[in-house]
Amino acid sequence: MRAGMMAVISLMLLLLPWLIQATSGGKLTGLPLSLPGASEELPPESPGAVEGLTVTQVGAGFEVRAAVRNTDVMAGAGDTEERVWQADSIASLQEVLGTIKALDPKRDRITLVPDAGASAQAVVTWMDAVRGSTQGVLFPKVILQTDGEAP
Amino acid sequence: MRRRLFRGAGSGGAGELHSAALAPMVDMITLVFVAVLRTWSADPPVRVPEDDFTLPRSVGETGAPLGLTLDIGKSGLYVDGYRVGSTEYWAASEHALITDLLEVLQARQGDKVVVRADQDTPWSMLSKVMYTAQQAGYADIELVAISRASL
Repeated sequence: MRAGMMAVISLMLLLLPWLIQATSGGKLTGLPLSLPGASEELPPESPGAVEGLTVTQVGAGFEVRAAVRNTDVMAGAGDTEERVWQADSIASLQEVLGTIKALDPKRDRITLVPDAGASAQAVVTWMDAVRGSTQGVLFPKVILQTDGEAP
Repeated sequence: MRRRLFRGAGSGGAGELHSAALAPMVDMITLVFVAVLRTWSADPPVRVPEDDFTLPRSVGETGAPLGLTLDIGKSGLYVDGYRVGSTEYWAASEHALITDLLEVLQARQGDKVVVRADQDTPWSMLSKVMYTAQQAGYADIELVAISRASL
């Protein structure tokens, strides 16, 4: 028993420095995104209750605009009404997006309009927040859009 | 304590470790081993173009994307490590298209570009770079961040 444990410890003491030496502690991840022009080349979304979804940074909070199909039984594609939600934090934004996701579970595309002064870290945090929460996947296909002279 | 961890002279070699004393060590090494494996990455260490360059952090855990690397540092813009323009100049410019960068990207004729921006880079600058990449014919754009799985 003791001889077996000593063998395991010896093996681990050999493997551990080798692994630490051969690997790097910083692991990178990629956040795929689309820009407005490129998004036009994306396949059309499957028809659902939500036909357009945009989140705009407004001061310290967010404004969520969704084009939701009318509840009228005769309503078809494009026959929508705009609904607006306000969120003052990332958590409340995820709550709002969770509500919209429940309306149209098939929808996976969202357009973000960051403020011109927002930092890259803020944009990444925001992208993470709209792509998913602890409740599950929200909108993994992110389109980034600017509201000024830049694209 | 000493009696529990070391066998006495009567039960074997004097001062020999008891197998129970080895168990916590095995546990500890196993935990460290798992932590190292979780952060394991075959990618080479991240080489940044400027000393004060810090990537944003993301909750994503997907692997690092491959492609033409485009860095946005505090002072310069870099393509695969070579400086192609000044960040300060283009951040202040009213033009959405960064011509210095456009020429280099068009010469490379790729399809995928990986954007690594310093965490403090303003969105106005980041969007110009991504717009320029898109105009240069790069349809696949990914933003790179440090994964939360990093040590």
